[in-house]
Amino acid sequence: MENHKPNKDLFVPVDTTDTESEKITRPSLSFWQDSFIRLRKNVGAMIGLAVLVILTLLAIFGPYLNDYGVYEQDLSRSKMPPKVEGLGWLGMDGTLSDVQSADTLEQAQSKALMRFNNQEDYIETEVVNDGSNGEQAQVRATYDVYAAKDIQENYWFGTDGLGRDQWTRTWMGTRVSLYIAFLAAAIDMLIGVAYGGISAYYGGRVDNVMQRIIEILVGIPNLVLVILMILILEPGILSITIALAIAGWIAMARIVRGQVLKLKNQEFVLASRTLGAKDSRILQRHLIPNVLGLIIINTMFSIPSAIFFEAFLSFIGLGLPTPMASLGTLINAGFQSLQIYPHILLFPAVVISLIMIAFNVLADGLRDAFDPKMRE
Amino acid sequence: MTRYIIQRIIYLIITMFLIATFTFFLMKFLPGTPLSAADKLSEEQQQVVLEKYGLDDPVPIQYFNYMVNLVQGDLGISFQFDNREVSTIIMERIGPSMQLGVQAMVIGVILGMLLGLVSAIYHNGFMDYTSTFLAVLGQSIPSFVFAGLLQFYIGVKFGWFPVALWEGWEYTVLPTASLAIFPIAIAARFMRTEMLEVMGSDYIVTARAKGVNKVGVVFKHGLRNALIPLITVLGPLAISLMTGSLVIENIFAVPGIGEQFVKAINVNDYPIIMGTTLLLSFMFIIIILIIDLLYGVIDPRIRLAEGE
Repeated sequence: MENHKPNKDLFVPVDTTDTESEKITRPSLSFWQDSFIRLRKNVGAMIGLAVLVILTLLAIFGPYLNDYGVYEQDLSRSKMPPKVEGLGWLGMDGTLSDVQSADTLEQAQSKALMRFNNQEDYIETEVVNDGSNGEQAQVRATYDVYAAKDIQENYWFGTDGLGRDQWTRTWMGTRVSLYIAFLAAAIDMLIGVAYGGISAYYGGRVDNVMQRIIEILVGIPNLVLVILMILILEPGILSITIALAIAGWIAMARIVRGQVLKLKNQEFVLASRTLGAKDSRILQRHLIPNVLGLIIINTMFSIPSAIFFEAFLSFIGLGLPTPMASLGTLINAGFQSLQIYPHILLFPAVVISLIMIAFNVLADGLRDAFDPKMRE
Repeated sequence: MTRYIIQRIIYLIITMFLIATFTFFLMKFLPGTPLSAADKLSEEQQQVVLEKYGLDDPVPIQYFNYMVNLVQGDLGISFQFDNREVSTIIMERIGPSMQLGVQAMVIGVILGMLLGLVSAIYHNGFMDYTSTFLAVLGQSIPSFVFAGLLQFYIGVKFGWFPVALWEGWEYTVLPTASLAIFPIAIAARFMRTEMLEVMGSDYIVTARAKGVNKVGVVFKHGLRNALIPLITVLGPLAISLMTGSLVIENIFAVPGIGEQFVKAINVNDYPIIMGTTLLLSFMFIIIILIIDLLYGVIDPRIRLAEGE
């Protein structure tokens, strides 16, 4: 064991002066820089952000990438399956297929042809199970809709029941969802922060009255409030906007109030006031920056629920009126022909799920970055 | 504690009163008339119908009558179904809604707890990442999209369970599953956070130091304490289930309150809309109250803090 023990002569004391040990070797980071470094390291949040950027670009430019209008109806091309050159392996080859089973092979074969109106020239049949093993015979029919209807253009996401291009409509619907996201954030930031901040900062009777109002508003379920607001106004983007403005800021106001109450009696605020700072300066320079992290986190969490709410309202028929496209109305339309044409439901459903997941993951990432104490 | 309960009940009454008033006046300003064929009826015929339902009285009198009836539990008569009391219609339809809600809640919370527990035990392991990922999916994807997936794959493609309607327990499987996914996700995430926090606390270290084995620590000391805060999410979850049931009942054609509510909105059946709104609000407020009180009963620390 002795030979592992280093000789004392090998050690030379480091020349430490007081300045040396106090020296800061790493660049000093502000709270924001530190937070953004943490956020950048979060793979999930970055993927979420990337997905949102891509979806936003598609929502802005997507409708112009082909020539079909949002309301352009043409019953001769209704319920076309999706077709993209080169993406046939993903099932986007412009065909519909279905498996039919019957007692004998011939019956199954004719049922399979019947399924697509006996357009034999455009149907390829394939025997899945010839019925010789005692089971039912099964025949898969694949119907090339584009060839049968002699349609040259491709509909990337297919068309809906009225022949409207689903690609254009999906991205128009995405615009609505993103508008709602923006709106929810703005309402949270403006009304929620102002209400909570004023209530806590001025305190006393102001606070008392404002809190009683909140206590009553909180008792009313958001859904009920929103539905009632939409009922007196015409359903449409405006009534959803107003409904969100009434109900969307309460949680934020409560959180900001709690934080400001905690902060306003701290020494740095007292110091600032002693030096003669006005209320507006204290609020702007000292209180709001200190609550900002929490405000951003909470805003991000309220966005997905607002998007869900719009889609939900449109889904039950209280959102955007019929010809307009919202992801909720598109999904609702998709349900009507789910059994035979699942593609009508598929694309809007995937897009809204992606938006919701991306916002939620990004919100989680922001929370971990701004407030590591709250990290799960 | 008694003072607190009384204060809460007073708030409850004020809120209910305001909601009832609010609902009443909003309904009065609704576009459209309750007469489905208004343009085909003569003035006199319209007058007769309006009189029958008391709709020709001045608004303050209608309001007064409405409130008096409401206190007696009379929600009025439906416009849609001839001479049927709204309270009867709601009572008939509350069963399926309640059943779905309770099933989804119980299944959701239990599965979610297990998922969260697994996450916490294998913290930062493969199981943790998988279940956290699933929880984010469950929290994000709208229930009606899940309903679509289940209906298409399990109902149509595989045919394991009926696609829609309400004729036995197997009809409840798909709607319950669609509704339960959100509670599963929320309970799992919450449970994971709480469990991690509890497992890091001093009494757990003490228990380990005293020689309690890992399983004992997790279930006896950890789980019990992590369960307490879980009660706080039950309220919001119950409310999200009430909201969710509006769409889910429609998708699966379940004869419940939600389905009725959406139909009533489409045909301007004011009494049903008002009755359902009030019922939903009332349930909402009661659930919040019960959970706040329960919280104090279960966790003595909160009671002590309030008593000081």
